[in-house]
Amino acid sequence: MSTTLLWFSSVIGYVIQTKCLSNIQSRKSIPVGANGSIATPEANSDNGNSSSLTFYLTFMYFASWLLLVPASRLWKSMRPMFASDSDSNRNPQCDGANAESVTDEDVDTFSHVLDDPPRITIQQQKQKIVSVATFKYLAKLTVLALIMIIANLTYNMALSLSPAFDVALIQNTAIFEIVTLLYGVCGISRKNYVFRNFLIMMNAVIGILIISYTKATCDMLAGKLSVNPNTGELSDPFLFDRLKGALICGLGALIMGPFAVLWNRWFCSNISKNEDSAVVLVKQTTHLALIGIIGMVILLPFIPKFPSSVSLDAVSLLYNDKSFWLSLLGSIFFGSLPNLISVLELNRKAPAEYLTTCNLGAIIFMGLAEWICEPTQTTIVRWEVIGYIMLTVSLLVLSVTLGEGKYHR
Amino acid sequence: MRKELKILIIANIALLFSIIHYTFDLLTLCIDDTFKDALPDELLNPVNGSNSTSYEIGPQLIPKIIHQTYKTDEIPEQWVEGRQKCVDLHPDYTYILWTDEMSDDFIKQEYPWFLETFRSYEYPIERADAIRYFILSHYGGVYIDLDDGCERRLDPLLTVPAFLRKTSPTGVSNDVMGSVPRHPFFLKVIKSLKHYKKNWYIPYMTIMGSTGPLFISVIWKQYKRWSNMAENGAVRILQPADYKMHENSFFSISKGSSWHTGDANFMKTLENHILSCVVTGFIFGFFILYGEFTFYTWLCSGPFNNKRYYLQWLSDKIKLLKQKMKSSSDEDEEKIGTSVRNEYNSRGKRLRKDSNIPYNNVFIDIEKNHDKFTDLS
Repeated sequence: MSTTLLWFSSVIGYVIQTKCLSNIQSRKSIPVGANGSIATPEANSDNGNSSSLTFYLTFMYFASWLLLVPASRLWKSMRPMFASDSDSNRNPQCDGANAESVTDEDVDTFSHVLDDPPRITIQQQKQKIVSVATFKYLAKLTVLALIMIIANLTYNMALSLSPAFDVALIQNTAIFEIVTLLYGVCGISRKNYVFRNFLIMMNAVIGILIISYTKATCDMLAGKLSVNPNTGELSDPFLFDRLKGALICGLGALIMGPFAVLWNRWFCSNISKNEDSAVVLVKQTTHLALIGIIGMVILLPFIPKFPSSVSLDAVSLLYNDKSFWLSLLGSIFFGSLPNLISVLELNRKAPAEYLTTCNLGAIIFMGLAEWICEPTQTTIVRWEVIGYIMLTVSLLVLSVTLGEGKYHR
Repeated sequence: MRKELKILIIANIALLFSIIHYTFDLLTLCIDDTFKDALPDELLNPVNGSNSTSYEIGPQLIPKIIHQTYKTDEIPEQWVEGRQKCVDLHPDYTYILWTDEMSDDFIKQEYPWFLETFRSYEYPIERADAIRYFILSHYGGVYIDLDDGCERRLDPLLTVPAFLRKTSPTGVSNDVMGSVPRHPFFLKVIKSLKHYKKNWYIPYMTIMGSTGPLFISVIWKQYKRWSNMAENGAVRILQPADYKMHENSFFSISKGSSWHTGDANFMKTLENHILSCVVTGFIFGFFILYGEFTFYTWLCSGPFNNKRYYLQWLSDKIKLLKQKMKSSSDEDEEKIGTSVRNEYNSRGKRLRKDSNIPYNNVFIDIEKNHDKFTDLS
């Protein structure tokens, strides 16, 4: 599949995921049948339920990572249908040999970690599994799981406090900045045209600033916000929530920088050029699935603590709510999974820094999604269009510059 | 990792820590914990009801004095009604309106160590802010801004040693306060005034940070962190619903602020664009850090990655420039170039791996039968 398609799949996946999760977080209540409703954030003054739902959604997000392995195997089997130029550029002998020999052994994570010799006895294998390398591997996964927990909790928490667009904008800005910076400092990205790229990036972030500034103006024009004529102050009881949401999400997203660096160092640097892409994808999704399991284990003590009197009923009734599940499954199958697989594939096919353009794309597509989903409540002003144009132009230039040589990695 | 990069990272971490150190109190304000110090409903609205004059309340601690301040005793019309309500509702209270002249005399007489600072405040509102802390600390009582009108009797508020009111979005404000005389919190406030008298170049920030709500919020945070808040040292917080615009609120607001200027209005418009404020912060950070990285990469990629070469290159350029200024003909320029290259050659080593200077140098000299080389003809 071409990198352009992967790019779109990644960006649109993110937009769907964010919109669906925001939809879940912004609902007033979860209907529980004839007897009433379970209170979610706004319905109850106690913040306990809001944080419970946040933990619950984070837990479900990690649970969805378990689907990555079957999804990647499915992807592997479907790959011939999407054979692209990049694949045809590869050495046919290597590919032919590898494609034929993709077996379960190839994608076994522990064999990859432990560098097993080809033939060892079961006894030896057992001894090998309990080794220093395994502990190191588990430690690496735990570190990455902890980082992902923080990033996802802040993301979900922000979605419960702020509109989806605000969250997408600040999160992607923060990830774009920190990943670009850390890739440069840690020597993961190439040092070509650094100053020129810096100017283009500044142009992009100024575009984002214009968009964020005019967004509030547009909201006021659309009647979503209003100013008290007597005091001149903003009539927004959720002003502090919006500030809190933006800060929490932005600062929480910064931790994705170390995640990206560590992931590239630990799980991408040792990939052989001749290794089959399907095998690599399955291996990497296996790492992610294990991170997901560790994340779920860590989050287990925190999942929903609904009011004690109805706790068990409430949790079971939560599962009965069809609209809740529809949004959640939508976010997983049309959002998280395509997004993650595309990101992994892009990271392999294109230079590492090319992925940062997805963050800029996510902001543009989130704006488009707002406009498509709420056409009657969206007002567009001239400066907002200018902001989007600045961002789009910068994105196109960066895609060309950062994506140079993407088929030869 | 290169040494320069390590230095850059360490410098940035040091900078970050120093910023955190200096803004720690402001950062802690983000954690809004006024609720646990809140004045409880059973204290503010006892059984007899809020509109009754006969309350069943605890013992009175704060003296029955109402303080207000204005530059003269001629109060603007829009505030007369609110002030009169306070006076009418509290006939048994002592009412004092502090004019600028009275304030100056008071500081001169009671707190001469502060007089110089008091008089040197750039904005009159800073003096109005400062004097309220001194009079509360000295006499005790309740201070009320002139634009706050009383809606009910203040008696329930007098049952605690000191109180402030919560403001939005975070922290406390100084428009309504109460205290017993010489309360440790207000003693700390008046001691801190000198230290916080700083000019932030933006009037709004200067006023807020030196004597205003931001100042008192920061001191309140410090006081909570380091002081004994038990019993007589406690500072209780009046919650927004008890302050104004609710059924049992104590105060109502009259129109018109006394000190907000253009920059204050600008600050208010920032509230409307709160997301872009956060984005600006992130962009600024990125600009600084990635700018540093770009500069570092430029240093590494250019001729500057070798300090010795850099110094040599710089001194040669200066020499060339000096000699160029002296001579103008082409022949002279060639001589100058040759002499400089000879200097490189005479050292007997190449300064850069990819340097091709020596080759050029040798051929030129051979062709011109330089003294140092054998004449092949």
